[in-house]
Amino acid sequence: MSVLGRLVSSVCSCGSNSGFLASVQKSVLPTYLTTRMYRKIKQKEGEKVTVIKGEVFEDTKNVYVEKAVPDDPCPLRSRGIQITYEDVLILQQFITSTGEMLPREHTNLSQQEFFKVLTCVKMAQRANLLPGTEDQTDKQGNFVPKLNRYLTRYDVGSRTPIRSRGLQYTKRLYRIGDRRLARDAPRVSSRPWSLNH
Amino acid sequence: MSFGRANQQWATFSRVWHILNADRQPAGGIGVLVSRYVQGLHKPIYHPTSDVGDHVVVVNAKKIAYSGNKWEEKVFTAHTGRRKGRVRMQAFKVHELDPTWIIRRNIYRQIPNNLLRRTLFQRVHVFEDENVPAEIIENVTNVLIGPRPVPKAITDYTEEEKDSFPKLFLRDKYFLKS
Repeated sequence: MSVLGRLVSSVCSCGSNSGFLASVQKSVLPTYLTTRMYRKIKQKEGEKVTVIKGEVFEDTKNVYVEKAVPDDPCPLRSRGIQITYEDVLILQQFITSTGEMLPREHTNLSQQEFFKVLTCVKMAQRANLLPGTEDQTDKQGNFVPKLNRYLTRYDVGSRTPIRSRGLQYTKRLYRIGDRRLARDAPRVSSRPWSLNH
Repeated sequence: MSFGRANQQWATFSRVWHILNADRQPAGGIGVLVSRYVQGLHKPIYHPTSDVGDHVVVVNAKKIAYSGNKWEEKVFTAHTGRRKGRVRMQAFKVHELDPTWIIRRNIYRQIPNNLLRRTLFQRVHVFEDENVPAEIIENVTNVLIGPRPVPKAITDYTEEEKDSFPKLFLRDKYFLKS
């Protein structure tokens, strides 16, 4: 438990991808190269014959980080990693090339971490940081144009317009980001994340 | 280097042209930044009656970003003064009609409400594209950095950076690389 606490404090001091790598490699966790044999489908179409092969190739560029808590199956919780929607290199490992999430049996994520990764992936997809999009239609079926956005928690066509926001002391605020991510996400300053605008 | 007194005066009070790229920047933050430069608050010689403000050119106004679901939730209201004259439009519809309207409204409201506001607002030039007329571009000498640090997409990373980044779990033996 004390190891996790130290790890979290050392990792939480930096918020970006490169910072995480530098701090983790220096502090506790060793890294080593692994080679794995993967399979690829190749299709060749001739005049009368189509050949479909399953080829085996060796992936030598895998850099794997050991866990601080080896008994924990979850890859994020065992290393004390907390993510934001900007950590695209970490999120890409949990999705397919089309943008769908890999099942929990493959990745061994815990339930809490799985939902955190899911919300981060959806927010990154709506901000055009990761591949994979959803239908841009309103509740009435009208088309919503594709615009730049960030920290969009809810589906694009799912929110109705707020016509009257109310008085100053009972104002209805716009919701931004996710509460669970903001509670755990790394932050340099002590000022909390603004979740309501 | 020798600086005559008259030349020094002209150099300190000269009017500078700045340019700002609004790609993936928040609309409110741009209004705060631009109003600051247009009034001259970034200069140590500032005084409200001394006319020390600069020109600002805002480019790519149609690529502005809103956090959250504000494109659908935020509603702009107006009234024509006549009966049944209340107009309510969602932010993305307003942006369709005039892509520069949201930025210009934010900048105008950030400048203080006095008699100088309209003359200072004439020194703000907003364009939806990167097509700026030559007579404006040839005056520009400084580049402003936007308020939001834009995050990198997965396509902006090189193959080496992606491969050298450590993996968090080893995939199954029968994994199909897609």
